[in-house]
Amino acid sequence: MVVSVIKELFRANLIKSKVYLKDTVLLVLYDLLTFVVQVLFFKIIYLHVLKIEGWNFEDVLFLLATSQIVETLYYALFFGGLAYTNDWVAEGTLDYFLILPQYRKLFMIFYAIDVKKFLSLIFPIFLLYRFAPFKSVWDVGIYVIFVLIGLFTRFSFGYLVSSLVMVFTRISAIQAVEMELFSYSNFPYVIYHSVWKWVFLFVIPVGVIANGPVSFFKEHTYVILLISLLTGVFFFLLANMAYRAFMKRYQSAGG
Amino acid sequence: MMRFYWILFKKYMKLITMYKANFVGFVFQNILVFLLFIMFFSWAGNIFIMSRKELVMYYFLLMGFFHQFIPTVQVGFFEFIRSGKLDGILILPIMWEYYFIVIDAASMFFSFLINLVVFGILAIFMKSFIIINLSRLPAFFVSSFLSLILFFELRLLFTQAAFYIEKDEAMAWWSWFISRFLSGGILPIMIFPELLRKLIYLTPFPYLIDFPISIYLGKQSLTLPHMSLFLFYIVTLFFINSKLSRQGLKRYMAYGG
Repeated sequence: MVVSVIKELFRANLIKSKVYLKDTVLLVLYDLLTFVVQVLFFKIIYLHVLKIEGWNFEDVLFLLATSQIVETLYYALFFGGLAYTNDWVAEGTLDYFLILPQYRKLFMIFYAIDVKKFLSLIFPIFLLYRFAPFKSVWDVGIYVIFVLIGLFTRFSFGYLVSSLVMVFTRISAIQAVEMELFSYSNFPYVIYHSVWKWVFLFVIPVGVIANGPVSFFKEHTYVILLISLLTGVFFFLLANMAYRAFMKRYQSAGG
Repeated sequence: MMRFYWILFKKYMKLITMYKANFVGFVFQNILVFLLFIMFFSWAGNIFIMSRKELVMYYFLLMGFFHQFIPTVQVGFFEFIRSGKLDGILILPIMWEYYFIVIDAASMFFSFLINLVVFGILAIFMKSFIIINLSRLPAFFVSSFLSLILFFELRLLFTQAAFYIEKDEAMAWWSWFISRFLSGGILPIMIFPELLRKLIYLTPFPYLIDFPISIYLGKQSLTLPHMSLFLFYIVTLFFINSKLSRQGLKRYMAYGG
């Protein structure tokens, strides 16, 4: 049943994307533009140097492609549902989900799947094809699993932020901070030092979601990946607790 | 009429203070992004003509103050058009364009005051990175003031798309990103390859952020060619906006009853 409902949500969004075709094309082109600009950002920095502390231009592009894949999948699958929670609570339309017999959270999260975002995956995949250091099909398989770990961490953090709706009702400002910060997940994790290492690897896991898979292939280390997985699990559990607490408050407020 | 705008400004300022969480989020975001950039450029080192210290100062001014000079579509205006709420403003004895400019100005002024305090405190802790260039201040203030006017002209230009297109999402993202990139809101234009830098400087966008900050850092001067182009864009956009506004209102009437 879950699969068929998600399939229907997918199909509904596909129809919507076709109806607003011009908007859809412009948004996909926008993703291409942001991607090109990010490549340009690093190209300009690497115009005058070959390597910065062991990171060359190809390494950075591999990181950029990975971060773009994680972010694009997050926006395509989860962000819409998490962002709408704001309005559902404020308008009371959350009730529609609450009367569902099961899988409420799942439906809420997948409710606003954004199909057109999947088209934007073409750009980072092309970059991966050119710059990823994969030696065999196994490497590709391992990479996919590691990217999914990064996506899980990204989702868990977004889920936790969305759960804050119980405290603030309107959390679009906090979500804007989250969006902006994670747009810098393409920065190498080696830039973080002292207390900021803790902040950007553990508290706000900007430095782990894309660096996890890249550090494995670049430096053969599992550390960043492990941090990503642990923070992901921690934030997921915390978000679930917050969600349950929120449900109690919501019922007391409703009629 | 000026009194009306002044009252609107004051009332809106009062309204903004009610959205405290929004502004805390906004300032928090600017500080964290600023810290990310400091860490990134501490790692990357000097880039082309800019030293690490100049890069940090650039992002200090950008995240603290000039971040607001990135023009984008005023999404609320689309809602005003689609719902017919614009009628409520059109019947007032004022120019609708100035109504939205005053609202923007109030919001920017409030953010400016908050950032002045927050980034002022930050500056104390980052003394070694702060560049004080008193001789450049007059030229910096003149160019910043002109940037502000240019910002409002561009914002109005993008916002008036609401008269012509149905959905705001793509337009909002495009206008924001193009403005941000070309104005130097992502990376200073002065470190771009020469040809690209010259091409970008033919557009109005670098005059919003890169130009005033580079004047402060001593990388550029308020020269006649730059000033002429700067003023040319302000005047041209003024006339384009007036024309679009007249035509747009005719279309809007066609929607309404």
